[in-house]
Amino acid sequence: MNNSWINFSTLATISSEEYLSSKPFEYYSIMNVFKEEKLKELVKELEAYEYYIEDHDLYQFKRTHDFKNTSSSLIKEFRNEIFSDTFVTEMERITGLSLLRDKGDLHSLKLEQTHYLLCHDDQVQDRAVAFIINLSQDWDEEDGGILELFESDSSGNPRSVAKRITPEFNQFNFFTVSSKSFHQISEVVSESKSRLSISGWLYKRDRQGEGL
Amino acid sequence: MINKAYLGDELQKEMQDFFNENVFLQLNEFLDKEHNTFRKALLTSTNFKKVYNPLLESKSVLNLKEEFSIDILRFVEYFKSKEFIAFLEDVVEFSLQVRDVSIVSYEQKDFKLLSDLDTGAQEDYLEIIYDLSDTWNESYGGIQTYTTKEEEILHLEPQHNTLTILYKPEEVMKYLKYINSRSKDKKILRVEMKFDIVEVEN
Repeated sequence: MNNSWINFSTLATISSEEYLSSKPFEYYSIMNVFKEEKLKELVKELEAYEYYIEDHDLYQFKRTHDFKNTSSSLIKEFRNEIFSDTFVTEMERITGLSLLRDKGDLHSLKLEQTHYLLCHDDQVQDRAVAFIINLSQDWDEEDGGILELFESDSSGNPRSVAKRITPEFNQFNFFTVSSKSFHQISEVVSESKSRLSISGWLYKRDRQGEGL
Repeated sequence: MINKAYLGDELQKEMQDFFNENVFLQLNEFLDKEHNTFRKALLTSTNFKKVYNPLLESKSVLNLKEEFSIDILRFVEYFKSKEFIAFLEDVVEFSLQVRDVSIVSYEQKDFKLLSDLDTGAQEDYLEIIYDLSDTWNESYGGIQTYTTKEEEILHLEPQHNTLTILYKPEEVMKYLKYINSRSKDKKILRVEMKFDIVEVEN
């Protein structure tokens, strides 16, 4: 399938069985789902974008407002692709979930030196699938900013990190939001690099095709 | 042990007035020079145990049951002593009873998140923190914030040899900001105490 943003042939290589049996919870990390040149254009667009500092007990980072009302035509185009019927249908095939079209959250995060996001499960309202598209180039494990997935104990509490994912340019990570989806981003320790990503959530759809 | 400057009648009245008005009070240079003995003993103790709950906190707590350092135990007993409690009672004008005394260390990657465990069934209490931290900088993180759902009430920065007295109502929660890599090997080291308020003195 031809698409200006998404390599559907790459996405098609993910089997639902593999996704549903992944540990410590249902997640997948895959490279080159998006067209490299388009993502590079997106990075340039984000360089001029306004980010706000978010500083709470759980996290410290910079983020944009949701792209729902963006004035950037490029970001608008990208957002339309992410919440398109074609892309969401593929995500439904992989995750086994019924998901809303044309509606979801999408924004960009920028983590600079000392920024972090501590352990949480993303369970808010009807979020069904969380996704992160990494846009940082030449990132090393020593720079920090690692996406860490927790395994939970028999009581359902996160205990220890079971999987660590170092950001790479054009890396697409996604997972089913559940009572097990505990994750965090370790502190960025690089003095010069920023961990740039686009992230968001797809939402549950009920049987009549409406949001819950 | 208490710095004699804090034992005079005139300053006591000032402390009472400040506490009444602000429901907290910080006393710098609180203990006399003996506090250095306490700090040295704590820094060499091997009985700190890591406590890590990803959804709640990361810290190290001194296991007092396995601690045999006379210098440490002497100070712990002092914070439970009639002399110390009488000092507090004079300042806050409540009758107090010790609920808990623990010695806690926070270093790089440690934190405490806001938690409903700080609210709920627990009644109001008096929180006392005696600080023995390294020289600290706000950019390291480690600031303790007291907040309600509506507003932040107090930011507590680590400050060596400082006693903080805080009236903690049930609805107030607290968090300790994640300590980042800029802190390098510096530590927050402190005695954390809870006192039950038995009755309000007339």
